[in-house]
Amino acid sequence: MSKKNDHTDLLARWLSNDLTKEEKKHFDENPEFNDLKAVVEDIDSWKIPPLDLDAGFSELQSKKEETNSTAKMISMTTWFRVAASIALIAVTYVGWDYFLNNEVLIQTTIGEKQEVELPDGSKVNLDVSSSLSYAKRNWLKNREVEIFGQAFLDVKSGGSFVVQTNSGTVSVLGTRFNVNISTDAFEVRCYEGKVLVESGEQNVTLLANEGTELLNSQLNKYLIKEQLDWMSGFNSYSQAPLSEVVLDLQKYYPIEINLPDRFTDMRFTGRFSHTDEASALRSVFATMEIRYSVLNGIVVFE
Amino acid sequence: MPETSSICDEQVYHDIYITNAEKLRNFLYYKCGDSDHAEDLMHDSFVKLWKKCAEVTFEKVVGFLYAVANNLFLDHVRSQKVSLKFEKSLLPKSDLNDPLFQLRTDEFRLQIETAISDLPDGQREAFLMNRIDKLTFKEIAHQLEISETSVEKRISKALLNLKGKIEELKQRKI
Repeated sequence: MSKKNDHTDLLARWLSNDLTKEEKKHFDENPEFNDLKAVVEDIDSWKIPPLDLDAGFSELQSKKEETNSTAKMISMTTWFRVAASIALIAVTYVGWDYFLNNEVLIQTTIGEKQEVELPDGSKVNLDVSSSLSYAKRNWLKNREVEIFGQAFLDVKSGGSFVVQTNSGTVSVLGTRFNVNISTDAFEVRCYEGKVLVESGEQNVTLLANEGTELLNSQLNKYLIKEQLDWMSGFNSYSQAPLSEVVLDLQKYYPIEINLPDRFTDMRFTGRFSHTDEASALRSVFATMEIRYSVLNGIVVFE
Repeated sequence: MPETSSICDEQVYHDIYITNAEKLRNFLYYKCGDSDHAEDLMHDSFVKLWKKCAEVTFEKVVGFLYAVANNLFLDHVRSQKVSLKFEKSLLPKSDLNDPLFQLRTDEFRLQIETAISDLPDGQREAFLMNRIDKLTFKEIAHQLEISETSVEKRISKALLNLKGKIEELKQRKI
């Protein structure tokens, strides 16, 4: 090995801190390298302006969108079909508003679930007694839906997608998640991807298998342990207040339940079916040893 | 889970972006010397990755990104002269008794910046990835898909070039 090669090797190993003790001593004592050392030390403190990762990623999303736009147009025929069925329902509920504002409103009644496809192919499974509305105009640029009740969303990747509710907003980047909103509940569960949940001043970012619930105006994050059961045809509970279970029963079946005060604090663990009213009532009340009978759609307690 | 990570998963893709975007942008900057252009090419590389997300395995992502970035760079810019600019800390107060006084001037630093810009592409990239992005030789080798010995050689040559330049500048009393 020539002398020059030795030098070369030494220099690189100096940078990677790979010099032996002896070499380091020799290197440190050799004034030949003092200037280079000082210059490299200075270079080490040089910087390049940092990249704004959030802004960069949204720019990337729109670049991706541009290249994808041709592929997304293919689903136009399905979209027309969906639009037709939406129009019928929308006319029933909002009448002229639909034509004037391009607003689409879908509302499910007691016991009725619906699967809705949005203009970009994203899917919303709407649970019973829930509503979904969105503006058809400029959908691809402004993907925003309003939801009350419970829904499972499977969002196609693309720009931002926002769910507005009366308790807060949920923003997503291509993902699968569930929202449960009522006057006294705001719950979001993320099954795939990433969502940002905002309520008032607070915000929580959820990754897959994380959920959050608004309790005493606090957003609490938790890990999802159980399956999302309303999608598979039943509701299940663990130590839930009976009054809450009774409210849910009335969303799935056209019945009136006036729970006597003496039962409201009881806790229910178990599940009820969405398809069989008699069996659902039995699973809740019989297991809790509450005697009841049904008269003209009203549950009477003994 | 990482062994089954698919790049087509938005979350995985986003994580890859967060981890690699800035270093890849810098790498392109060392090549072309234009930070806006570097950012564009970096994003184009990520669009390519998205299109090929089903074909690229998680382990190959970094190499893929750098290879695509390199090709895009070659397609768009034909070996133009680069002139890199870095953000530098303020110099300490000059002290004539400092033996390194000559090196601690703004003029001298600008000359060094130019000297680095003038290094051959391979040497410049490897040297700056090591000094600015603080990547190890191993990481650089992995990203550029070359051997560690090649990285070591490129960086050594860059250092020898710099050493020569410093001596030359000092003799010119800049």
